Amino acid sequence: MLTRTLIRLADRFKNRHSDFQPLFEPYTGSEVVSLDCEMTGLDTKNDHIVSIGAVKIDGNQVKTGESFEAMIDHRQWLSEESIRIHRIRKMDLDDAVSIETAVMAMIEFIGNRPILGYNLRFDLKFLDRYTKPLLGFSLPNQMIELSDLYRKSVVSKRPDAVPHLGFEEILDDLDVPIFGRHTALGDATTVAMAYIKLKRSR
Amino acid sequence: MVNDVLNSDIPPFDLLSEEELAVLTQSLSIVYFDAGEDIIPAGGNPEGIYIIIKGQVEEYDESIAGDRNAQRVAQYSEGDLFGSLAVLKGRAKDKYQAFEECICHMVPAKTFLDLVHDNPEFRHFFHKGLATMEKQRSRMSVPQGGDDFSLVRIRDSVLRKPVIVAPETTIAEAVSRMRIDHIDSILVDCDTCTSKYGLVTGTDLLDALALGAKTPDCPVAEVATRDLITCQANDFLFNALIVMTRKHIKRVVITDQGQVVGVSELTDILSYLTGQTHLMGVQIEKAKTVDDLKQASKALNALIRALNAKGVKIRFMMELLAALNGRLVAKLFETTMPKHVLDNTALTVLGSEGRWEQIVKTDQDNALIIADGFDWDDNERTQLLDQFTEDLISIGFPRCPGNIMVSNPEWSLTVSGWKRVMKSWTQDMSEETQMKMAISLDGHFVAGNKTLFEELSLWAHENLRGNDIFLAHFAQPVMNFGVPLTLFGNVKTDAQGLDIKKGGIFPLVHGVRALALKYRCRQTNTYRRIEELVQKGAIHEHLGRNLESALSLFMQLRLQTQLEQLDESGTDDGSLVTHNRILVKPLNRLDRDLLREALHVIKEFKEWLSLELHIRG
Repeated sequence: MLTRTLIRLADRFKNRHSDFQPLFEPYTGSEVVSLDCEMTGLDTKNDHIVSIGAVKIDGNQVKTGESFEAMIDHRQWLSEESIRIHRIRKMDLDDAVSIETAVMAMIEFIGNRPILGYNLRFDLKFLDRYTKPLLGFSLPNQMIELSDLYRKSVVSKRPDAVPHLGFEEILDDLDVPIFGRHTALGDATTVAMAYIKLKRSR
Repeated sequence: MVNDVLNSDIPPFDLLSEEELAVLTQSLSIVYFDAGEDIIPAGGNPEGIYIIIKGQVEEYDESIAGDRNAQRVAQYSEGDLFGSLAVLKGRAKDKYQAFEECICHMVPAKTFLDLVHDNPEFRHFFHKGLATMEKQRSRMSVPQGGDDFSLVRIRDSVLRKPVIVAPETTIAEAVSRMRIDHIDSILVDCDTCTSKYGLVTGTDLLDALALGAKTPDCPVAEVATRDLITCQANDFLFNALIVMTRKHIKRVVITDQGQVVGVSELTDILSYLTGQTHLMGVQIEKAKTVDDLKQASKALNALIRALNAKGVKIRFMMELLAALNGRLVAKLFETTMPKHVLDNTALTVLGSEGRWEQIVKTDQDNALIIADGFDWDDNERTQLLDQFTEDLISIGFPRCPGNIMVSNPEWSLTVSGWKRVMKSWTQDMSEETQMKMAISLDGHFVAGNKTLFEELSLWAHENLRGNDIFLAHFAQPVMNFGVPLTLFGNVKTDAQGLDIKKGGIFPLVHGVRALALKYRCRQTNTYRRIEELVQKGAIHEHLGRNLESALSLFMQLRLQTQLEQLDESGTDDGSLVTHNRILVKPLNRLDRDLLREALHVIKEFKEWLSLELHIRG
């Protein structure tokens, strides 16, 4: 945690005159962005990002109208297995963009808002591969991990409980419907709804 | 993803263009509410309209005196839309509250108002009356199997060109003319009488020659039927069919602005329908024994299914079935009663049969009017009437649980006996008497000597109005059952379903009946009573239309559940006593919207009626 804070401060200093300076400003609004990426596999070094979805949250609303979705053109890496899991066929990628374009657009969409996700660190590792060369730094935003929030919420009610932190188990326990599983925007929306419920139940 | 739930194929979102849908999608959000949280507070300016993804929402009118149950005016469930009225008015009259945890789509007020402003069809949907919603529904339910028969007009159908001959034409000439034109009837232009035309059929000519001792050179005018039954060319073909069934005739003359434009033959019309109707009518007319009638009756439920599948309007179905059932009962009476009984009695069907509102036979309600001074042997009378009731049961009219049948001496009286009894009913305030009165008011003649029925009916019409206190008592049962506005209430009622008869049909039918009594309407059919009441200015046209739509919807839903019960039981002989409970959950959203709206019509009707007739609520 400490290193992350230090790196962020250093990045902020480096960028004090750059176009990216606003990303380092503390966020003062009420919104949060729920973010999700779909990848070709679990290997953070060799697998690739397939799609990115993000949606804004404000209070008890998931602003599905203000959402971000990008399909990444990765036709060269598309394996049969990933087609099966993500239901993204090669032909579905005709509107797809390069990963660099997608990441820049995503950063513009998120701005300096806090980022919410499930198993967010994993997604960020993938994103780092592109943000570092493109920007020179990792995303500096405040990060909110759904499973952390969920664990705290369960333990605060029943201190001896050992919460199950699987995605489906959390949703099931919170009784949140799944919006379009295995699409980045669908999962981002689902996570957003779970987040609102967790915030509310406190 | 969003479209998973916000289905743009169903009204009202199917009314939006692609660009408008894009605007809508870009402004949508998903909102979460805790159980008990106000989604739209009363008097508040709502943020938008909501479509429920998950959970239940209740609407409360806090201006109603009483507890929460009294204030609850509606309940919404998955897929339902609410808040549009509040957004349109800029202020919520009622409070919308999450009954349990809810997740909803929200369309912001501004987006919604823009869409309403720019898209007239979309606007129309939300400025809905029940009648408009019905149109939406019929737009949705694609008629199965081609044309909607109930909408075909006579002028657009199987109209035969009239063949008109001069009055002095001889029988021989008429026969050859009919042979040349391949027709079975001919019109006679006889300007001399009140009606301009007479009708001669092949059977008429045959009878005239064989039985009437006429010669082939006799003028046709002498054997022509003068009192022609006519229909307007603009009328629905279905009505022509009903007229023919009721009067048991095989053709009607069609007029347009007073001019004869053609002849409509029964066989032609029936070829439009499923073959079964034809068989039905013929089977009933040809029946000679009770067994023959039993066979004919069995085919009725199949006919109902066929008509229902064809998407024939419920109101027409009711009338056709009433006509067929009426003929069935009449034929049984004519087959089993000796001539001296037929001449001196009038068989009357009561209740829903009398109102022509029974589709699936649920029970028999009938009574007999006996001529004063008819010397009827007691043994013969008991034996014949008991047998008649049993025969009716055997051809599929279940026994009346209230014993309102001719076999019960209380329901088989002389004309003066009836007058005495009915007069006494107006002075008795007991509930049982009131219901007898109600059932009798719906009485409709089916067989025997019609003049007896006419006499009694005319007398009742002039003498049985009672005073306001009587009317208030009479209408009281309208208030007996609450309107089940909470469609998805607790699980218990859900499992049993919603009793559409108690909650909807009965208050409507009985309320209209009470008004009909007050305003001296002679119609017995509820739709016709409503029409007459509107014409007399007794009820506002808007209310009238809404009541008609509500009744049609209730009847349609009830028919659905009755057919399902018949399907499940596998019996088709009418021995099954069906219930009136419908399950709300399986209905699609539009049907639920309609049902909710229709039940609101009933609620408002009851409120209005209690003031109008001074009923204690």
